[in-house]
Amino acid sequence: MPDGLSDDRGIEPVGPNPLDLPANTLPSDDAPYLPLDTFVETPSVGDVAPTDALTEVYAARSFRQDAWRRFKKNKLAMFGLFLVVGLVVVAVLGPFLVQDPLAQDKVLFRTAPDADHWFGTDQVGRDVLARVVYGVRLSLFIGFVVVLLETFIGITVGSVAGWLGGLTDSFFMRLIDVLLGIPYLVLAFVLIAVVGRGVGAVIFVLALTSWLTTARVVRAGFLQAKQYEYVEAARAVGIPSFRIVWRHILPNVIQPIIVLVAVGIGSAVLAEAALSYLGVGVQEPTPSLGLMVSRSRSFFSTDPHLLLFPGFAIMITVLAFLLVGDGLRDALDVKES
Amino acid sequence: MSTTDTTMPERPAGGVGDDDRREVLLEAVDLVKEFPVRGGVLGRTVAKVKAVSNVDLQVYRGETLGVVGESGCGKSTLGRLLLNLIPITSGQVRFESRDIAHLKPKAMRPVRRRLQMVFQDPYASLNPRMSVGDALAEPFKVHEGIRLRDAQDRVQELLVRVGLSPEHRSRYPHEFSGGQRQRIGIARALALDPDMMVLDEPVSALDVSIQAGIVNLLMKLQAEQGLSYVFIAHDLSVVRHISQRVAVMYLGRIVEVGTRDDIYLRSQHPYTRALLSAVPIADPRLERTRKRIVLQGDVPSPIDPPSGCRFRTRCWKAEAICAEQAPELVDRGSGHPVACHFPEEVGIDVRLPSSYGSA
Amino acid sequence: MAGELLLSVKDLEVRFRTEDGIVQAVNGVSFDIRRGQVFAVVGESGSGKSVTAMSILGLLPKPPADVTGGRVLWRGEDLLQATPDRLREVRGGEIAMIFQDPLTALNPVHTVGRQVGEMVMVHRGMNKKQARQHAIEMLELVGIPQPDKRVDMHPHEFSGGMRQRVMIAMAIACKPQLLIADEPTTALDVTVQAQVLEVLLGIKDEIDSAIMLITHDLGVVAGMADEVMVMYAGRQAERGTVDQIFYRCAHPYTVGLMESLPRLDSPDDELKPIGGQPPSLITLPSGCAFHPRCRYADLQGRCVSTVPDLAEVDGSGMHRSACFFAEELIAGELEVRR
Repeated sequence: MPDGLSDDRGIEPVGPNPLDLPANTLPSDDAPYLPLDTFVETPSVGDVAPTDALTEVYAARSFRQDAWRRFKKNKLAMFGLFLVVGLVVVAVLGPFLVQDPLAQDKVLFRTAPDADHWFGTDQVGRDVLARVVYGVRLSLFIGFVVVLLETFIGITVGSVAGWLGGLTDSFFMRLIDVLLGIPYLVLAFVLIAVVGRGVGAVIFVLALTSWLTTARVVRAGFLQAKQYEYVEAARAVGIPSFRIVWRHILPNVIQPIIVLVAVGIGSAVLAEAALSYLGVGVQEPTPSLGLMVSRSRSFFSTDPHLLLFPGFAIMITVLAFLLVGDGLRDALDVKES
Repeated sequence: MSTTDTTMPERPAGGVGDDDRREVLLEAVDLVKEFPVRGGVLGRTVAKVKAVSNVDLQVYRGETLGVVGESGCGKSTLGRLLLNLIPITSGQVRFESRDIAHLKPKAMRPVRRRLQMVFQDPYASLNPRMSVGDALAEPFKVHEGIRLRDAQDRVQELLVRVGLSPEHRSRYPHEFSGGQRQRIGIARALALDPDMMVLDEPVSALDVSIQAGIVNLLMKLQAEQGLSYVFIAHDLSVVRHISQRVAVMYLGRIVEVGTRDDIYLRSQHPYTRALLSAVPIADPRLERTRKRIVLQGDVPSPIDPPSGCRFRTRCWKAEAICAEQAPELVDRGSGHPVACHFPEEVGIDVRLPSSYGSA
Repeated sequence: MAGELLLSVKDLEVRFRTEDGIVQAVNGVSFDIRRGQVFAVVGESGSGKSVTAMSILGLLPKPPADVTGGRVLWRGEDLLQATPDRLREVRGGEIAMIFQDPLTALNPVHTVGRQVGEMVMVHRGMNKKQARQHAIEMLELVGIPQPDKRVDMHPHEFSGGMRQRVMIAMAIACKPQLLIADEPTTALDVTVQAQVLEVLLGIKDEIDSAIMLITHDLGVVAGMADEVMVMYAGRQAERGTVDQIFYRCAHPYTVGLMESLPRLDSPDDELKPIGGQPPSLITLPSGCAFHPRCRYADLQGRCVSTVPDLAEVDGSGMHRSACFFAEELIAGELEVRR
């Protein structure tokens, strides 16, 4: 029987079964006939006293396998996953296939899509396809880095607050309450004014404003996990606090974080586009989708393709991650035994 | 005849009067635990749950001390206090004559490995994301600095000792049944070769045919290595089967303590009598002739326990003094301590407590 | 048994469709329950005892559950063929169910009086005032002190034992002729269990009904039951009067259960666990489902090849066992084969 937890390939389904059969109703690889001399010494198996009819038939089974099975059944989520994979391929391989996004054609300004320039050219004669591809690449880069930082800060703060409790906990929670009370754009403007503009600044600002939810979720997970018997069991064997947090609690509060990561990438992409659109984000000539939308809005009546291609790219990117996030939420949301 | 017959341990002798000669391994002295009940906007303490009140108790080396009582009597809390898993409110817990209740985590570490715990719920007490091998190797890593990988021989040996197969180490908890998980829990407690284990309702979540295997395993392990057990359970039949001495708790206090036969054949506290008479016995003819003492009402709240004797509100013998004065847990002439102003007479078979009917 | 035949289950078969395969939860179970009787169904987790009870009232979720065969005759009427309206009438009105966990089975936002009274408003068409009065009477009947005050309280204001009494009050509100109690005292302490069982037995005589008691606790069975059915892997292993089951065991599984149970009155008897694994309900062992764990099984013979019928033993008419060697087992002549 493959153990779905240790093995990264464990997301392979081992036969769809949303009903969660108990271990002892599954065909067991233990031989049905026991050697005579070990007959009674063989571990007896059994389950907890039944609570109702259904627990007689259902019980827990590999969580990750079940989650993947539920995810696969969700057509929208699978579509989202397909889009994400497509976008990553575009971001990684695209630059080898398209033209230079910075090269300006001295003749062709704002031309409509044709065989040479599939998405046309922009107001200074740059290839829009190349700029969209590079834009997607930048969006994903910013999205991933922001989420990485956001998750790191969120888990750290959430863990410290949740594990220590007391005054530390109160301090961080009030801080988060205050920060959540300020609209993030206002916060972003203030921070940008301090740290300046550019890709690095955007990442810094977004990471600093987005860890709040993660921290809250991690803290809530800790408060719950601290009550679990296996955490107490770990303490009873004398395992030090840090190890309990790292090995026993974190792996068990990580599921909602996975959802937040997926949704967080989408949000970061959107936020980057918004900041760039408002002129406080990524600066010219770096190809950014938000910036492209912003620069082309005055030509919308005559050359709508300049706005529509980057606009669609933003939409698809954000949608893809939101769909995956939603699918993960549904797939993981079931309370684990 | 099954193979367990040959491995069944001789029950260690535990008669009255042996106590003085036997070594006290762990001792609770005037132990108190109160949990604050917080309320209001500021989270102030508005009341206290008196979970364990003034408990004195000894655990001797090599014995099994059963602790029985109904839910909410404080027996699980007592078990955790004995292991210093939760801070005490006042009193002492002495392990080999040394107070461990106030030790710092670092100083507690070497003591911790000698005092272990087995938990009730075999589903909740194992980390679902850790393989059995890693879970069992963890104590070695933490206490002896052995890497998880290098501890695998010892892990396999542990698995065999609790009746599992060495190949089970690469599996995860969800692949095991309740009984097997409980064996894993026992193996984890056993890993560091402890002197004593507190077992908190270790078989109450299991089917009967599975329970028996776990009880036999515990008795075998005790015989092999002279472990002391504090066996906490609400099932009086299992406790009688496994214990040499028994303490009966009611609402945070010990009401009676003595050898197994003191409690089951010569009990003097009315609560012990009522408890024993309420246990159904799998014998229809006996059940038809048994008289039950059916207690009235419910256990009072531990936030505001009755004055004096805490059992008096449900006791058919209660008089004025019971409300005024809490009875001391002392020997009242029967050879074992009883906390009651009006103890029952010795010599009545608890199976047929016919001197009084339903109160 | 002289009482009127109330319930007659014949060859009941329940399947759960799962994507791993079909779980054979109940496989050909037949029994009769008569008025005045306490009929106990005993078995461990996965034995199908609760599924059997729930299928009587059509309470199993479909899908995944599917009653694939048999009949459930309630005073001659097949409940498996009954319309949903008729089933609703029977549930609570003629057959009532008491669940293990009263906290989840009671609605926390309504007073207990309303929940008990609702039964008679639905089934008897009583008005609110009558229903409240009736609820008070029922609470008094199950031994709840100050029922006229308690009737207006919410479930969380009651202790575990008191909640279970409220559940019983709800169940008996319409004076049903059959009470199905599924592990009614498993969540309770022994002193409270004694109270609740006493109430249940008293009520049975008071309203002249029968009780189907589902439990894993052989002690409770010994004290309560008239007739006992032992289930294993969705099949009946043995059925008989309580004395027959306890004193003349005719099935190795029953013997195994008795020997693995620590008894309060004989603490030094050695406990003998039943070895091996409970079977997978998807791929049941061939022949007798207990044979892989049975000390007496003839692994070369019928035990492996043929499913034993629930056959009469002892010539008594009442006592039946699904073991080929039942007579030898009772006579103590059966050899341990491994």
